[in-house]
Amino acid sequence: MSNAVTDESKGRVGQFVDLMVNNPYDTYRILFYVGLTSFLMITLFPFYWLLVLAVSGGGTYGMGFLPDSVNIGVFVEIFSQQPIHLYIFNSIVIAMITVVICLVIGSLAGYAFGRVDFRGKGPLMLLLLIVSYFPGIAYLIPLYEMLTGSLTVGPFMTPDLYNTPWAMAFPFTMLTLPITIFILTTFFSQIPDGLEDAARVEGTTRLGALFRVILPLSAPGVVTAAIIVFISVYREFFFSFMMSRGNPDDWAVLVYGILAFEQQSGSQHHFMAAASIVGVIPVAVLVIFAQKHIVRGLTQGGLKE
Amino acid sequence: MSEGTNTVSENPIHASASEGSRKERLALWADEHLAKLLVIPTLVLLFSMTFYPMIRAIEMSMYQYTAGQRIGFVGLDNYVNLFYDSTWRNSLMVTAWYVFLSVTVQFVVGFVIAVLLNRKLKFRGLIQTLILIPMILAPTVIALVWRLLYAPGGLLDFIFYPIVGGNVGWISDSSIALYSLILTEVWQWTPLVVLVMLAGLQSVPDHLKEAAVMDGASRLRIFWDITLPHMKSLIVLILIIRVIDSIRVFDKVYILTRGGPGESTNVVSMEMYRAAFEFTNWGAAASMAISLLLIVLLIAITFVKIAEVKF
Repeated sequence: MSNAVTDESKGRVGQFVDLMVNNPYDTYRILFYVGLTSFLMITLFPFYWLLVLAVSGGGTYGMGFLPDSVNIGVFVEIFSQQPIHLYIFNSIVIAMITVVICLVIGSLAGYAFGRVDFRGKGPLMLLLLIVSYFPGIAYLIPLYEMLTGSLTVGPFMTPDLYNTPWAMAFPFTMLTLPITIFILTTFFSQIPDGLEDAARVEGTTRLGALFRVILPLSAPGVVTAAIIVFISVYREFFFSFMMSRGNPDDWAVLVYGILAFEQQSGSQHHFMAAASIVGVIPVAVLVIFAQKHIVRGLTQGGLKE
Repeated sequence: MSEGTNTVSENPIHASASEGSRKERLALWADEHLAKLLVIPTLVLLFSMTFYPMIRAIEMSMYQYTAGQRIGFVGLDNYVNLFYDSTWRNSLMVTAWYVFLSVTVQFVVGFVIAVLLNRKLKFRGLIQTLILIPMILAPTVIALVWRLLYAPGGLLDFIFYPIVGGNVGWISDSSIALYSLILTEVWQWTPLVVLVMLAGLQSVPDHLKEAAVMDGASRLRIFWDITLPHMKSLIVLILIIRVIDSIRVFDKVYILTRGGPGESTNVVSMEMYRAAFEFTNWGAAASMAISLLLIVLLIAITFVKIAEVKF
């Protein structure tokens, strides 16, 4: 589906480049709206489809673009079948814990990277960058062993964190800390030295300056980092899946809430779709209020070069 | 960290003289070694969550396991076995093709769309929000939607019926399944390329373009000689991010095809997962993990060298 349209727009660009050069405005405008509309439609179609699935009842995921019947009640029904709100609550709590850890540790490191010159800074940043792209699955077995309390270091044994939020929050922190540090480093380094110097002349230590001057001034950066961490934790699949037994009491996250409908017999697709939509709401709210921050966070890593 | 809280809560007015001087000295000392102190928490976390597991994985890769039990030390045998393992080699090929094709298509399509969209947009915020959606949704949800779209007799079959005259077998035909996965990947990540490229296009300074217009350069010429060179590092960066990110693809494959049919979509991380959790051959799985790490590291370093990324 998307291939057809993309080929079309590719071909068009080739053909129309000359036209665009000679014929300034009209061609370009048509092209623009065609491109924009088809791009948006293709991007958004699966979500429209999700909605269709949710409201049109079980078993009818086959044909047509429009729902056969509209049953809004499904969004209430899922809560009586599975405690979706508990799964969502768990997801939010775990994401919040990770955000807090990441911001505290990340702003300290970000200050060091962004505002202090020290030996080994370059290699350390490079190390962070590389680490952030290691495949998480490669660590799974050792991390699983460590976080479930089967690792002994001398007389000490690691605590059994299986089925607790920490078993997820720690690996998540590992996954998201590098991006947090990169975002904060960029923002911190943009603050004029004069402001920090002024604070220090007033008798503040560097750390005091970090918390009283730098952090408040880079609030947009902190928000950006927090949102990106929150979203990536909220949508994470692998560790969420491995580090909990799957009951809401065991801190199972949204993934399990959605998959819970799969284990029951029959076609539960409409429930899964409805649960997915409900589960997306917290993130959707966040995105609507903060899309500028998210776009900045996603793009500025590259832009600062 | 404790260093940090001490210094911050320090209040010179209430501190007595001697205590103050001790605190002051501590603060001075902390200030001097600040950078090192501040990086410590990061390093601790990095060590326990990244380097320790890596070292442990290297150790595990040198032992033989049967049914999750350690049998004996085998040295590098697991790696040698990998080398002759046709399943593993196949999974490398599958991953390479997956990464190459999906990143190429994402980049070309994303770049073209970004060039098209590069003008004053009326609903810029709305459009950005809308195209962010595929990136922020849980992979579970995305895979669920696409699984239903690909289902036999599902919507995609419905759309393609007039052309193909039957069901396509999107994820059940071994010659098509990989391309279906690539299609999902392209759909999900093209918007990121669009966003980043758009940001890059708009960061090209106007005065450069204006100067070129004064000199009588054509639009194509401006694009080729001014815009493209200006965006070079951004282009390399988005390519690195997408290549390395798609090398470790797992969730999509796990939910959509589980590596099948046959081994047609058996990407590296899927093969690793199977070795670890289906065959509980942890030694083999660990050796795969380490090999994958080396490959990713090699690619990352190559890209960083090419891009001349500086810190």
